[in-house]
Amino acid sequence: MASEPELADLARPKAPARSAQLAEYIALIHPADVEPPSAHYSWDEEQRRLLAAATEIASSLAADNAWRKRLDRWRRWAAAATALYEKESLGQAPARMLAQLAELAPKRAVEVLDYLIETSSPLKGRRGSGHVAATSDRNLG
Amino acid sequence: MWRLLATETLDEPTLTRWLAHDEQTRALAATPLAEIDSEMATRLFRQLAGDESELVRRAALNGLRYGSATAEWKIRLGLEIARDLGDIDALETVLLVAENANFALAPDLIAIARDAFLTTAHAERLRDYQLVSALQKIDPDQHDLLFDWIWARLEWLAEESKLAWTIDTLPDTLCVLIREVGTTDDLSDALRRFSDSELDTLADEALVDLLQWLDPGADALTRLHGRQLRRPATPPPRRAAVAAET
Repeated sequence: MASEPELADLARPKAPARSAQLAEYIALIHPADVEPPSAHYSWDEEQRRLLAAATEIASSLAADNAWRKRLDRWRRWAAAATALYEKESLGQAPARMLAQLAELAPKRAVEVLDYLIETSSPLKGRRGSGHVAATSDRNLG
Repeated sequence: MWRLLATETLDEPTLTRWLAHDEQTRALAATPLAEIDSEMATRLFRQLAGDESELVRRAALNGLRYGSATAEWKIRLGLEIARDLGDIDALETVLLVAENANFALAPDLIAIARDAFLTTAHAERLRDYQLVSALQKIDPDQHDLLFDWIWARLEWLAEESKLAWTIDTLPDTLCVLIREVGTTDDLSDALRRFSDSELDTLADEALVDLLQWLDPGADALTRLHGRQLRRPATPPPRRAAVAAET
């Protein structure tokens, strides 16, 4: 016997599947929450999910020979998103991803940071998020 | 960046090139550099702690705040940054870092901390908790530094416009402390300043608070009230001059 659908599932129609690029944009750049608050997992679990998403993006960036193109695309997304949402800086996701990249592929991380700095990309972080980047990569292990 | 520095993946030429780029990049590097013990990191951190950009100096201070290792030279740098910023929160942070590391401040560091504390007398907005906490850490007797700060603030307030409603006078948190450590000499000093005043500046509002906190039942204060009541109702000279002009 099929279980009864939960009330929340009835109220919210299923969203179409996300493309890889959209998922990357949401995980890395989008300045607001997309998913509704969930009672299904804790704050710790949420942090684990964010870290897993950052690790996945870092891992694919480390393996990507066209990584400069990808950083350029992220920069265009960041410019559009911060203008649209009138935000001065991005959230912690880019810093989290760079910290994971430094762990997975340190040499590529130096190349990436070098490129972000030389191109004045907002992904390298600003003072607020920079502080997080500077300390969180130590705390992330 | 901390990981890249700690694992020495990041070489000095690359880092030096980054530091020459812009203040945001220098600020990004300043915080993790505080945590690295190598000769290169120490040298670059000292350089960034004295950077012309406040953003970078604050980032260096963050490195001291969140770093797990401290040393006398780091505390000294932190106190100097706090003094130059005139920021009570920054000062209290550095003192807290020293206290947490069981680091007793040598007399020369106490002198820098006192200077840093006194520079906050010129801040428009005050942070009560940090003010009292820093005072307790710098001057265990809490009297001399407190009253040096109060007189410095009164002199600064006397020069500020009374219309500047964003300026704090004396924080209420000081009430208990002033009642506890204030002396009759302090009361006399406050009364003399009050008598000399034209009663039309922010400093006078602060003086009224101070007199009440020191000893509201003091004979000298009662006599002053009596004199004020008997005085003819003439405006103070500055107000009279303004009235004559208009």
